[in-house]
Amino acid sequence: MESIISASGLVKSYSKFTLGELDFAVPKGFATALIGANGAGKTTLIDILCGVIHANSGEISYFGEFTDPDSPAVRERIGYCAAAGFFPTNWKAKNIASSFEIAYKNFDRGNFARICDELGVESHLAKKQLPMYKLSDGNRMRTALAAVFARETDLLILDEPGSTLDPLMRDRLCDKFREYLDRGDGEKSIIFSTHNIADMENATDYAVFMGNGKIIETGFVDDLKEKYIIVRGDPENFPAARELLLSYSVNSTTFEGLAYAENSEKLRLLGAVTERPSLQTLSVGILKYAEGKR
Amino acid sequence: MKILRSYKLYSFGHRRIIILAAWFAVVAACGFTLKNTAAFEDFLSGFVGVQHMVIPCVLSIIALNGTLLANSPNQSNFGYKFFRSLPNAEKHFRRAVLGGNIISLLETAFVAVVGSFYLESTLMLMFSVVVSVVFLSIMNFVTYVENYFVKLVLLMVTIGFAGGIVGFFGEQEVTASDDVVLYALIACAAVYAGSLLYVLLNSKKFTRKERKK
Repeated sequence: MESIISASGLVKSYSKFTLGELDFAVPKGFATALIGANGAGKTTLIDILCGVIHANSGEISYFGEFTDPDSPAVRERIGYCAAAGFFPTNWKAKNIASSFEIAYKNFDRGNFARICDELGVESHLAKKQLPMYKLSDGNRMRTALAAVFARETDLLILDEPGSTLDPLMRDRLCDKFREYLDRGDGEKSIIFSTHNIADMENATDYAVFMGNGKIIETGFVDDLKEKYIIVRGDPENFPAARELLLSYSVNSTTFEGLAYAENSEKLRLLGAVTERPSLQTLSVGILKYAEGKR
Repeated sequence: MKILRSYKLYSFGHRRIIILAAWFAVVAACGFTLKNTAAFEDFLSGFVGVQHMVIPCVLSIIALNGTLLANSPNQSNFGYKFFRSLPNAEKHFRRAVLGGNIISLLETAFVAVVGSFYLESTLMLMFSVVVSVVFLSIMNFVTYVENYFVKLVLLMVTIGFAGGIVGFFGEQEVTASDDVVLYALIACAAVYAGSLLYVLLNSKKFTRKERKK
């Protein structure tokens, strides 16, 4: 598997939180979701990958040839968008267009206007433009995404692109992801963090699960769905099934949990029902498992 | 050209210059209109007063600080993640700081040019310019002070002193030899050059340090 980004021994320490040590590789040509609870380290990791902050130690390889996150050649090829307040709040669409034109060689104003139109926000061509602070969070994110998509890049790194969008727009964002990857014909990749796992499932090929600053599981979504199962059963069967469950929740009428698929036969014999997980149920199960191990 | 583009990337300062130029144009028009009237004395005392000192000073703060805050996570409204993620971010930052200095010097030049239309005392005019440039030097020296409150206090104290000194001299019959004026200008230029070198040479160190936090 060819990787678009790989990292080894990556560590970033703060007084109350440490990210890492992380070793991972993100496959080229796919959309990779960073999934984790609040404070898991997703944004810190994205900030390191985009050069916003520097790691204390470790090495990152970009596109298989660069190791310096500050290299202009790397930054020209990455389209990055932060979760909130990415642009100065007094900026309008025209300021964003001007800045991108100054900063990047591969920004196209025509594309920006077209994508703004597609995403339903004002472009730099609008007569009366509102500053960012007057826009809703969702419209701010749409404008930022339009600017990022208006560049010719090989890798998008987006922090929570869907969290402030309405469900319809999240669906459109998934379509944009697919369009972007199709246009690249295996050469373009996307890394994004998300909490809206159900809505972004269609756009996710590969998942990296994070918890408490560590990577707890990685893999192609289809492989992970083969590896794990969701288990449901009556509460009286729970004590027997418990040791086979990685994580669970139980109440007076039912129990539900996550287990390795290799244990499905044993669980069925214990009277439990097993099913293939969705990315949402898989994520909840894995994150609960990681939380329980802390 | 690169300097102005980098400055524009951070601050979009052209509007500030247009407003300032328009303001001085109005002042100049008032001066010409009142030139041979009894009200001209009053106009002059207002012109020489504190406001001409304070306006370029305050605008200088904005000119430089807009750029500097854009790199600080303490002021997330300024989009520090965007600026840090740009290609050649460090070069843009350095050029933008230089651009901020140029804009501030232009503002001071506006004061000098408009002042030269009316002021008979070259000394007073030179004094205004010197205080403006010294102020700008201090602005450069406090650029990397991390505590924003300390930075603000230092700047406001300087503005207060500048305003007070100009106000005091505005009311006195002050004279000085050409040599004194010349030495003052040389000292002022040296301090300013030092401050500019300091701020530019440390820009890379500052951005690297911020990213390691």
